[in-house]
Amino acid sequence: MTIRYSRRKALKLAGAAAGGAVLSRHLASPHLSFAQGRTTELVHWSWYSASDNTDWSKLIDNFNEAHKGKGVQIRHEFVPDDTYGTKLLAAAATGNAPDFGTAQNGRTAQWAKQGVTVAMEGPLKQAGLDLSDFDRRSLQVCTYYGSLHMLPMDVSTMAVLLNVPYARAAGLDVSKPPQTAADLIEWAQKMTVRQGDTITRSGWMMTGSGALPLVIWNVVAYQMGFRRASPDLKKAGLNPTAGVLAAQWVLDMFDKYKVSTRSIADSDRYRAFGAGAAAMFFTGPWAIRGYADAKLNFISFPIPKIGDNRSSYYEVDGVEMYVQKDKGRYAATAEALKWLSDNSLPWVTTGRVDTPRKSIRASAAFKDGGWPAAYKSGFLEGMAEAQITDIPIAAAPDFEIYGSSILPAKTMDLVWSKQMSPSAAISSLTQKWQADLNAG
Amino acid sequence: MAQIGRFARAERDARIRGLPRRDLWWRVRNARWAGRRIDWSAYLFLLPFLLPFTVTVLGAIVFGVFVSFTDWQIVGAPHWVGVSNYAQAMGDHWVVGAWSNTLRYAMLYVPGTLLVALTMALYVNGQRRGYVLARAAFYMPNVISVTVVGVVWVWILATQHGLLNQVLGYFGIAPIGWLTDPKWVLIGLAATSIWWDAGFIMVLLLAGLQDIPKELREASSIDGCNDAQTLWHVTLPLLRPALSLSLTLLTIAGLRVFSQIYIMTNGGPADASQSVIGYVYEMGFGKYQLGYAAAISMMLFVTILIVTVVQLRVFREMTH
Repeated sequence: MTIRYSRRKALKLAGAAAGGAVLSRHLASPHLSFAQGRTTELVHWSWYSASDNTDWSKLIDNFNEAHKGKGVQIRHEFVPDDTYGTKLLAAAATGNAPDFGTAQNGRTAQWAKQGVTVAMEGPLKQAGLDLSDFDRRSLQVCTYYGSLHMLPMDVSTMAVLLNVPYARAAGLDVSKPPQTAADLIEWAQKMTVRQGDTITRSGWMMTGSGALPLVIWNVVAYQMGFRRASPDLKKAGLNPTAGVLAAQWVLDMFDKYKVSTRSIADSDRYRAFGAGAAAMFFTGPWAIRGYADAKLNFISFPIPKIGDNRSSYYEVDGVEMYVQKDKGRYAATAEALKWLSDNSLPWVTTGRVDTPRKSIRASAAFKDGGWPAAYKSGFLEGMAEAQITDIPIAAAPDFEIYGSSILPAKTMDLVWSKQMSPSAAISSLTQKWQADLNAG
Repeated sequence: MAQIGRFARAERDARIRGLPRRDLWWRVRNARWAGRRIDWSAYLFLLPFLLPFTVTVLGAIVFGVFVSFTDWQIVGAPHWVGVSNYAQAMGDHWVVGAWSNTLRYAMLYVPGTLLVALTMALYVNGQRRGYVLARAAFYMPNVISVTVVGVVWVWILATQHGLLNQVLGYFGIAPIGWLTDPKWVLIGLAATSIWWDAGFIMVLLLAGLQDIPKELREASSIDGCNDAQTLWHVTLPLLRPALSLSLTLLTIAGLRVFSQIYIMTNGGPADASQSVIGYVYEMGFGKYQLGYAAAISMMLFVTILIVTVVQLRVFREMTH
């Protein structure tokens, strides 16, 4: 049988099909289902990848399991870190932002200024979350322009991972890890292996460029008294001499003590430590799972005192709420976030190693749970001295201390490759930082 | 006559139905071009291509030009800032560095790929022993995704345990920082790209070689030319159209390089491999300065356009 369509009929059918497609998509949207009183589906974006994603997903799955049939579920979507910002801003600009997403303290202060993230104190208090149970410091660093814009889920510092067999082979006592700069250099020298002039195993791993030498420089510089910005965020580059001395310390590890090699690529640092190309590696707790799964024999210890104090890197990871057309969703999101925070024990013991919640830290489950003490003790002990963190202003990326394609890394990379002097680099950074601080 | 008959019938029908004569809809339906009635249904069939093309290509270009004159940051309305993004780019030493890296990379990559591809095409065209296998092997890298190429070549070029340095080590050559030394990184990246792209260019050149009549080469050898002289005086001049196309494509690819650098070095070490598109990505996706990123993109677009036009003109004159 042949069916004949006139042009008019064909156009009508095409129009009906297009309309149907649009309508069906709209009917399937979480926003409409919420408005109709069905199960509220909160949309959550996260940039956690690899093992972080596995651990974080478990927490979300726990929420969904606990709320089965209770009218609320979380739809967890992974959005890669490098496109998270543009996707989120585009979604927010078109009124389709997710309800909440993962964040790191300070880095999204600009979004607070632009109205993309929402102030969270009100909704969280309404949901019954006791903010006095949180470390004051963790809340402070998540407060931008006078309002809390991120709920801390975990707090962390960076510590030194030590490959135990290499230390033992060098005759070092791993129960007494380095405490000072001199100790650190001595240990690094004893564990460094060379073939001629070529370092085949770094005693102290630093890549020739990127995130690792940058964060080490920042920690050492802070210990020596350098500050990227004054506490009132008015003046940039305090005590630049200390910054220069710290940069020289980093250069000396490459060229004077010869315990580090520039041959390891920034992107290859995790693999390099696991593969035995380095004996000591300054990193975060996110690296534990990979090495534990690979059955690497390692311990962690806090960064030694290289300058006048033993300060270290401080990072708070958490969640932020994004602007919605339907303001009624904030209450449901805040309730979900309260549940996630109250039940964050698996995340803060296996995904990370420390919590901002006093009640969780005091619990026996926290003390006994998670990774063996040998793995996590360096990170937990180091928390007492952790204070070097991101600057919560609109131009926060210019101040970041841990990243590879950011202004400080690009500038200091020129120092590590001897294309620029430390003082010129710090002067250039200070100039840009001051302009950023002036802009607010 | 038939057409006149149709119009007359349509006008009569319109009168019977009481419609105004020759209303807009009627005029559109009966519109003519070069004496022939336009069949609008043909355009309906073109719509599935034309609509996305207009929105995603033409629309994006026009929008990109507009954004380059604004301070747009995705959220909020774009504010007109005139040529200040362009002025800022001129004085930005990171832009100058990225431009310098890109040009130096292109200067390695374009002649390198052309030379390798030409060698491979001549070998295959000569139908020497094993040429069928060689043709497939030469082209094979081109079908591999850039991610795989990047990851594999990071292993090959790794300074400490990389395959290439291991091989060089047998000859007593000290490890080279193919991807970790600012002096070598562009060479390492260019080598990767040559390996990846030479197969495709080989196909273009092979097609050009197969268009050259055998008689010409035979005549030159009868006249006493050796292989090198035949290549230089007969083959290469006749291969100019294919070489011109290859050179244009390679120049465009070289100037807008991004993916392999992003995967293999992310612009490092010390920004020594940062490309123009890499910097655009950094500004646009890292700092959300879309106006500034668009301005740099437009500058690159104009550069590519000029270089391409000059190349084509030079080759056309050489061919004539």
